Amino acid sequence: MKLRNITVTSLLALSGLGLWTYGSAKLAGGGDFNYRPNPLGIKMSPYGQVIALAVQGGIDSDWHGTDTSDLACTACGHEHGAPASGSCPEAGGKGPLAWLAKVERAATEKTNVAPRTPGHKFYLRRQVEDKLRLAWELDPSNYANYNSYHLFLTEPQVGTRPIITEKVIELSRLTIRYCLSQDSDPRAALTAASAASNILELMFLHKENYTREQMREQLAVLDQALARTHELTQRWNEEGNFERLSEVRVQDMQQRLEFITKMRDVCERTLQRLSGPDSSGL
Amino acid sequence: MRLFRLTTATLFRRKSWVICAFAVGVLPFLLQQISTGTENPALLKPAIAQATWAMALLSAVFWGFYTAAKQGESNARSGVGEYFMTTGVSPTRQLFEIWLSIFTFLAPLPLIAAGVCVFAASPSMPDERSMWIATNLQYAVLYLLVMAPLVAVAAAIASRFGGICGFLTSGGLALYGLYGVGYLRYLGDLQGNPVLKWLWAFSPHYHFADPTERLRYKLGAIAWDKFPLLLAYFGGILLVYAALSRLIFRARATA
Repeated sequence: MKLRNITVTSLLALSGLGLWTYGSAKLAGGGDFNYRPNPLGIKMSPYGQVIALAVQGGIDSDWHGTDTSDLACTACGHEHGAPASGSCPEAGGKGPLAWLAKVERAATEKTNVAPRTPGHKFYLRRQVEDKLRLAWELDPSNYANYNSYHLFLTEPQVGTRPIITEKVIELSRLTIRYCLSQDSDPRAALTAASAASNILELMFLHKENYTREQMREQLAVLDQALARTHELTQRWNEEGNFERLSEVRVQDMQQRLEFITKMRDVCERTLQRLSGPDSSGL
Repeated sequence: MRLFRLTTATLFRRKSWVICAFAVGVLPFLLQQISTGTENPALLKPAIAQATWAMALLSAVFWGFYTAAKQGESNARSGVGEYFMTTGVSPTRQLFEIWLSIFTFLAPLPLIAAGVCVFAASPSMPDERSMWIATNLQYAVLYLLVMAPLVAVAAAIASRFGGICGFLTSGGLALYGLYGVGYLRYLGDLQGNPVLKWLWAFSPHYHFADPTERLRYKLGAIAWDKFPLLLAYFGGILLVYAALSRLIFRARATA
């Protein structure tokens, strides 16, 4: 290679390296290098929300894999009585989908009569937990995904990673912050309310670690989230947005709203009792 | 510029660019039907904006780098490069002409994406709208600055080591810079391991050029006083890759 060529190439490379180093030093100094990777921006996006819904099916079947009760249907693994009762949607179906389900069953079926080992059950529970984490990351405002993940973290019987209460509360706070930043969907506000009531419940459980003032603040957050839910529900009613949802999903939302409202009242009463003169008995 | 015209005509006749144009310009409007925008109309516009830029990124990686690798390889293997050398076109010049030809097809993609965002997914508040246009233009510039040198790298490596190597190197670098570096941070204790830390700091952080989240949450345009810093950063990477491509590229396959 000619001397001129080598010089030009080296100059290019050196000046490039200089700029690159300068840029990365500046950007790293500003903390811009620290980011949470989010391929194609899919997490917390309108597409992520759909995938988060779809993931629930996989979680469901994995969860039933951990089930060892005799009541489980042999066709689908769910508990809904005997397979012959006709209540199983996957048994006896016709067409390519049912055929595919049969093939899947044949490939994944457990034929060893020995019960599942504790290690395998733990593995299945961890699979479920990881999927729930993913589902929560995809859409923190999804009521079912958030609450299932919360259950896994707080219930030592099902969770696989012992986790301290502070971390669980942090997860709920992240959920609340995200859900309240969404100002177009009442279901997100409802999830925020649910997260707030979960935090309150944990605070009551470890009441020696939290002041009454902190609990009252949390109750205010719950009230704020419920108020936001009602406000957005009214707006959705006026705009006719509920007609876009299936009836089951609307019913789900109403039941959850009733439940959270009841929980809110229970929380308030508990707080009153705790703040009362004789609070040591609780 | 005969090699440029030859390559451009070949790519145009091959018609695979139509898929990219469709993916960036039309597909976002179809994809929004499988987003939650169907339940919550407030999410329709963010879904379009996200999809069009995601498609532009995917088109560059899968079409742009693949085409560059294919052209770089065939130029060296088929004897076209050798022919042009005998007519006085140096290898560097050949690399430039091949690169320019592919860049001609890639350059409209971020502009289409920006156009889709501005015309079909613009926020309704007037002051947010001007911000929106600025954000999209900024990211169109960053997109070109990131993808341009990777096209040259794909063509150069393919000319020496074969098309698959060229495509995988550029595609891998792009995906690693966009998403991989973020996961690298979780791999271990970065602060405690000087090698990992060094690797992380000198990785191409292409995620700075990924607009999907910024557009989804209307975070606003990159501050104009910080934008030159990003240009310098990606400009530096561009120069290093240009130098490397120039070294690696060869116009004929030697026996």
